[in-house]
Amino acid sequence: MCWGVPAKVISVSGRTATVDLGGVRREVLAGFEEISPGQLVMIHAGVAIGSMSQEDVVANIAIYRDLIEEELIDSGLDEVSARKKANEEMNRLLVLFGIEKSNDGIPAGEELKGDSSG
Amino acid sequence: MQPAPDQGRIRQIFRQNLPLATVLKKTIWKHASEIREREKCNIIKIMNFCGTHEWTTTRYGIRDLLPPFLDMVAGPGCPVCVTPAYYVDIAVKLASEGVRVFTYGDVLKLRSVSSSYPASLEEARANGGDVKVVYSFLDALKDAQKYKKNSIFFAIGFETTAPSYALLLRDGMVPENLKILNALRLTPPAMRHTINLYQERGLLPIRGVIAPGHVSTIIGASEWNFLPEEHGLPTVVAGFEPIDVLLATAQILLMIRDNRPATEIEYRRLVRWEGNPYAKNAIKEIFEKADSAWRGLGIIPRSGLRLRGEFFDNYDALEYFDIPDVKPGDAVKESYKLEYDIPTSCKCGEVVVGISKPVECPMFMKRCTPTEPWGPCMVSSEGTCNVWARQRTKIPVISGQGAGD
Repeated sequence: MCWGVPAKVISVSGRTATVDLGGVRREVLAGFEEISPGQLVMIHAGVAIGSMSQEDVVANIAIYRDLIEEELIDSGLDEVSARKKANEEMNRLLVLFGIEKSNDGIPAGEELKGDSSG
Repeated sequence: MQPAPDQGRIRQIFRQNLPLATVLKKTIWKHASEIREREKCNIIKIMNFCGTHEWTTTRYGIRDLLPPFLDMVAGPGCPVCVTPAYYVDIAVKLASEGVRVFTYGDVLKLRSVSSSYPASLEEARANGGDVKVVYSFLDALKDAQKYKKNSIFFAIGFETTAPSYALLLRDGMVPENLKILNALRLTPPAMRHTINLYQERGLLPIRGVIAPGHVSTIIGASEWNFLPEEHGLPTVVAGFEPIDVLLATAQILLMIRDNRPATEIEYRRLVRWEGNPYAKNAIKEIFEKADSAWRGLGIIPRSGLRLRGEFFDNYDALEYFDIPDVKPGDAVKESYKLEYDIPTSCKCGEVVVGISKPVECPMFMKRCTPTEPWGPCMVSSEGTCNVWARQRTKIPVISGQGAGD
């Protein structure tokens, strides 16, 4: 019952939305105001409880990238190569979290900061 | 102490995030060892509140990656587990008397305790009772509109499921022939109760909390601030990937080591400090907080949601069918005893707050299995006993997208 599943919004009609749950279409209740077609949302017991933007995901995983980068530098890689490799890892995470990656994974011009303080 | 040589295990679980998982594991071992050394303690106990966090922790063998003195215990974050047997009895009774009972699938096998009726909704259905499994309250509502006769929705759940009732009731979309058997419960009061229980019983204290991700999407991460502020407990709202649980664990240990308890959001791709104001406002408009019973735990102050005013009069199933609720001070309380609530020999009352582990229950995998659950913690895929039982046969694979409360 409490399993959450990510889905893509196909269309919105009043209080409900049609979403694509990995190929299966289903009518769910819109649980937040700014729901719109194309959004990636979390579905929970038939309710879209929140949306996930690419920016949110990038902010969330910035700390992951910095941790990897640090480890790669520790293991002897130079800073430029470590950053490149860490960014490649982020590509994989973006896909894992259901976000379509941009050309190089991290949006162009984004300067990512590791910050876990909330 | 050196980390165990289990690179193969990490590789298996975190194929896509190998470098990160390796770093996090090393960080966790380092911080935990420092704390242990400094405090001369044998065990550091961290609680994951949510049943899905327990699922991730067990399913992906995360405990195997952690130091043996880091004890990850499961909390009361399984709504099916904590729904009082009394409500199951009522649902079974009504289904057997011809009322259509809508329910989520994982409630079907939940056992009633009364010997006068079938043992569960599943058995009631097999005996001709009108029990319909639905995906959501929205689906039940559509069915009830066509059905037109008396029906109830067995509303088990935490803050994540409350918006569906609140939004649809507020907008007048629920037909009056559909009543709500309301077992909605709130998670922060249960966490507070659990912390107090450990103190009262003089148990080894919980040192940090992995707070539920999806519940916090609704209520907001700030609702957990009482844990660091009043109890000095580092708290991290986490997602449900194995990597999320590892990172939350590392963050908690860092806060313990530095003695700076705070609430942090690891699950930033979905959780905000203020939560979802739209859903929260609807819940507040339709429900009020009420002292409520938790299976195996008893009455916890202001830990449930009760329909307000006209919504209670028009939609509350107990009110409509004139059945007394479980409330402190009521006559019902006299018959509402913990020994009634938990089946004989079952340790779910302790498992649900992490005091006992499933394997410490004499019924586990003997009289009580996922196919024939005896105790409530074996019923749902979020129940600790069910998670532990199923883990026995599963091979670790990479997780898909997050799940959970």
